[in-house]
Amino acid sequence: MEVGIGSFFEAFLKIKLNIKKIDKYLNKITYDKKIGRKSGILSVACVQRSVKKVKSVEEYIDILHRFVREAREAGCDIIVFPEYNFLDFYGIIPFSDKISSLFIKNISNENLKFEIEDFKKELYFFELDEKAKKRELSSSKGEDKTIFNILYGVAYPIQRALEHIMCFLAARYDIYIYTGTYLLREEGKLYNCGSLISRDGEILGRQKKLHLTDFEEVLNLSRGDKLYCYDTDIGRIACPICMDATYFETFKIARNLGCDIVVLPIANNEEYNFYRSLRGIWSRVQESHVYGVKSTLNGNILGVKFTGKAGIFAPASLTEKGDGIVNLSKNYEGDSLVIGSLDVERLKAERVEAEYYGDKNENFERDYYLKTYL
Amino acid sequence: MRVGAVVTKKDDFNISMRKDDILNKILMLLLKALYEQVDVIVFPGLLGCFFNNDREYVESLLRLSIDFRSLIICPGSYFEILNGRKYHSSCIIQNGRILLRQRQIYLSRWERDANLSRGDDISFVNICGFKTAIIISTDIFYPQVSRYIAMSGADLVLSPVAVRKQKQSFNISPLWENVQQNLFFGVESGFKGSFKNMDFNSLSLIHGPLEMTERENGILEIERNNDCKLITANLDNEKRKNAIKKFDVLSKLNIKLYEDMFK
Repeated sequence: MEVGIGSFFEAFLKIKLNIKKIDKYLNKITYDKKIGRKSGILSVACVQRSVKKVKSVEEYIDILHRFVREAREAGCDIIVFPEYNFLDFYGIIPFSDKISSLFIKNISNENLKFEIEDFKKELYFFELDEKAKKRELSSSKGEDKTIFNILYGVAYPIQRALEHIMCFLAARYDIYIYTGTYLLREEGKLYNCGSLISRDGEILGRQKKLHLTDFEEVLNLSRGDKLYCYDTDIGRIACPICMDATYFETFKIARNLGCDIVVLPIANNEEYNFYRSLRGIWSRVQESHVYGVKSTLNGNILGVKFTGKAGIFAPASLTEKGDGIVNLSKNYEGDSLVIGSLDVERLKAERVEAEYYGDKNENFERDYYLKTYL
Repeated sequence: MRVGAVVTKKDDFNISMRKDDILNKILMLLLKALYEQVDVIVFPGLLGCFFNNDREYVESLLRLSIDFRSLIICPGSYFEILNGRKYHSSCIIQNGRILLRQRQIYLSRWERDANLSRGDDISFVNICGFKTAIIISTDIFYPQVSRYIAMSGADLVLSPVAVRKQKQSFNISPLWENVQQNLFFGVESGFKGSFKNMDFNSLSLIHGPLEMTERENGILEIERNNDCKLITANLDNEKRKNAIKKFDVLSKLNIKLYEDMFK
């Protein structure tokens, strides 16, 4: 029975997020002509946006398009969307009130049995195809799989639509786009994942989240086990996700890979606190001497409140006030596009001259992995 | 447990001072610690460098410590000469005994230019039920040091610091970053003044996990713009463990990912 729930939602969303329908709308939008790049200056844009329950995919495209156009008009080379950049589709999904109720109870570990049975009866009023019912899905842990199976069902149509829209916009506006994150399904597992898209509209790669929050563990998401880097004409980029920035290891590996820019989408499901936000990407940028570009999702959805300021960060010595901030959103709620200029050559020179960076201790580091983690 | 970090003003300690004057200042600070019922006191980085050598400094402190039997003292840092090598070192002493010795693991640019050597390992000592280590100055900029200490189960880090004058950010130090990603307590005493024609400007702070601090800023106490020479705080290990339950960073490490980090 569990299997069919996910399949129902998948089938539904495949219709609602049909690629032909998306293409039809994308091709209808009036685009400005390609806007010239600012020569010699690398400009980045990070999106801070309030999640909005959309009624159609067209409405969702309008939201993304507005940000991309604004970034390109400002001469930006890359735009970074936030974590869980697909939650707006919740407005399209049927039985959203029921799902919301299940979701809240699921994350607060309340007993769901009664409500789930009720929900299934209602859902199976619809005819599900036999093939869908037979397909085997399993979550990695947890007793109840209803929420997991719903997420599993909606994951692919959403990923496909999101990437399709972003590839189109990237090529049209000649801009790198980090899609923000979506749920990636792979071999019966779900990952929190984001894609980096080239100026030509090609997907350069997908990065899975490497460190999960409690919230994501309750949802039975799985984590990735490798950090990738992507070569672009604006520098080598890594794209870890939210909680990954709590760990110095993520940024150390990014530096080992030769990255100068680390893109970080976040969606913090907690009240905003200045110091709490400092212990993420800001701290890692100071330690690892890279540029950090953080996009944020905020607002209320599924009974969860998200907050966070989008911002661009650099080693303190490279910033005017010595505070490590290139640019930061004024508010932790609402929409804004934070734009800043990066100078990768200056960053490289700063690393060479830095007083407290770049030393090695072979004896201490030789067995570090064994003595620290095992 | 009650801890204290010495607060210095610019050139409170300097190379032109007589050794007896420095020792008198230290004595006054130890008396203040006693008065404030402090169990552990941390002195700033480089303090021992104003003596002729590390031996002279440490022996002077060992003698003083006998009059403060129960007080545990981290006498700041100094240059230790051993077998022709020079290390940036510190220690923990109590009642005339050295409980722990520590050498700095990583070097800053100026320390490399001064031909200092690096330490190889990190030692621990139990203080009033707190597993304790020292992080010396430059090592606060190398988060792998803190991670190793945290993964060894440390509850408390003592940190004598002397950081060259640089742009200050939000009145927090790299040790704050390390405390927040490892969730131990940190007692940091910063040196302000000149040494070898370089200016140093470090703060004194007592750190704890953000979730257990009153203003959710990870700061249990910080030096202020007044004449206070010693900041103090009570460290409640149970409260810290409850804070960790709210944000258990170390439980979510992705260990497989880190396998080649230092290869």
